Amino acid sequence: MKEKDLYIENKKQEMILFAEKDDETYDAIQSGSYVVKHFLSDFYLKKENLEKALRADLIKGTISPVFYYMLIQDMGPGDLAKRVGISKRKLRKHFRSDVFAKMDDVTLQKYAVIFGVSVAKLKNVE
Amino acid sequence: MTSFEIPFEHKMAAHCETGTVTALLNHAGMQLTEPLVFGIAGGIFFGYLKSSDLPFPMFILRSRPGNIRKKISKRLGVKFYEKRFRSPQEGEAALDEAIRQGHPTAAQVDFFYMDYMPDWQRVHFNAHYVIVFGVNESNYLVSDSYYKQKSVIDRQKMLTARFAGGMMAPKGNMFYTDRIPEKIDLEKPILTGIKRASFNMTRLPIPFLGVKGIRMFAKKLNEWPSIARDIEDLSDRVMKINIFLEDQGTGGGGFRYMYATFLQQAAVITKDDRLKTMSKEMMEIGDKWRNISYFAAKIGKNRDLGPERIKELSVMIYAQADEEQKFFHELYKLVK
Repeated sequence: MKEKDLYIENKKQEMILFAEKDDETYDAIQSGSYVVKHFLSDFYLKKENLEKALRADLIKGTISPVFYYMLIQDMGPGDLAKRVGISKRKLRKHFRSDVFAKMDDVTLQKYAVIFGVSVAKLKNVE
Repeated sequence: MTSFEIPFEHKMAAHCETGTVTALLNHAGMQLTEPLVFGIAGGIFFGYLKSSDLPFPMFILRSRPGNIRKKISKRLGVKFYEKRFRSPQEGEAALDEAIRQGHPTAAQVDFFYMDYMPDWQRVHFNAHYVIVFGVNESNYLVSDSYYKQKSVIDRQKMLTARFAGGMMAPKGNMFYTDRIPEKIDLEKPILTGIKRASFNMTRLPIPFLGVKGIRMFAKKLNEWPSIARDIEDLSDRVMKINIFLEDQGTGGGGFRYMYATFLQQAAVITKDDRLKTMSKEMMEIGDKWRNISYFAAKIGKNRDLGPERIKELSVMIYAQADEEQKFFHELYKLVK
């Protein structure tokens, strides 16, 4: 694609793309992101809707914060279980609010590090 | 601890691993472009993946993480010092020591913890590569190909990122250039890289890899509405097709633009004009992937995700499989 057709003006997120220059050589150009320029608000809207729905489930007690953060951070259950060092079966138990309420400090700390939040924030999703 | 910084030229690059390897080679005095690194390593690929490690089926467009460095080492005779660690403390000490010895050092990290990046970009991905070129008591200085300027990251955060568990766990993986050959003839490595990539795209007997993987993607896409949580989730997954093809370090058109650039540069080095013709064809294939990514973003944003629209997208992807099969078959014949 020609440089003029590929280039997108957007300083929020820039990246290197390879394009055809005027002299017909292909080379790197620094361009903005098409999706960030046009659809970033849609990304945040979907994220907010998901957070809202999951918070309602948290209040009802049908899910635990572990399940909440796994979905918000778009992680696969197999990957999360490996990170914590437990089986997928045990992880599924941690999706239950009653099991989460009795979780030991060491496991809580592991989840907090993985999700990049404090233990206090993990226990009380705002 | 006193601070220590290695003079290092930061440059953005299309992709983290090729960008990191290229920057390390350039720093060591070997002038090689990112497309040449990508092409010589035979980086172009396709795979459709489904696993409980992933939140949703996804596709990859390049060879396995770590392969770029390994193949560059093998094909160009560059020696990298490379190490993984069982103990985070040992890994941290080794990184500090490498920097103090003056080696800009690549570190494999979970991208999620690179907190200088905007939040919408940060996802858990264990095969991101950055170059660490400075250290002090509380921070590291980092050159990340995806970021405009040099960055600073907290020591503890870097440790967490280097020792995140899970799929493709980094295990503290770090590497730096140890020795580069005095003279390099690029012609043979270029042809080997092309041959290997063409083979991987067309001849691997595995249904989800190479051109077969593109067809599987086209077919399985029709099942996405039934496995997504709801319409919002489906919209997000379909729009991610655009992100995987363009924004997640591909150089555009799902690495196809970078591969076209490699073929054009390879034509000059090997003095083979047939590769120049192939580079134009590859650029056109990249344009069609870009059309797919625009289309996916548009229908995802509009929640226009009925069976007919998904089928339309699927048909476009099937056509890409046919184009790439023909292309890589011809390319293989050229270098065989």
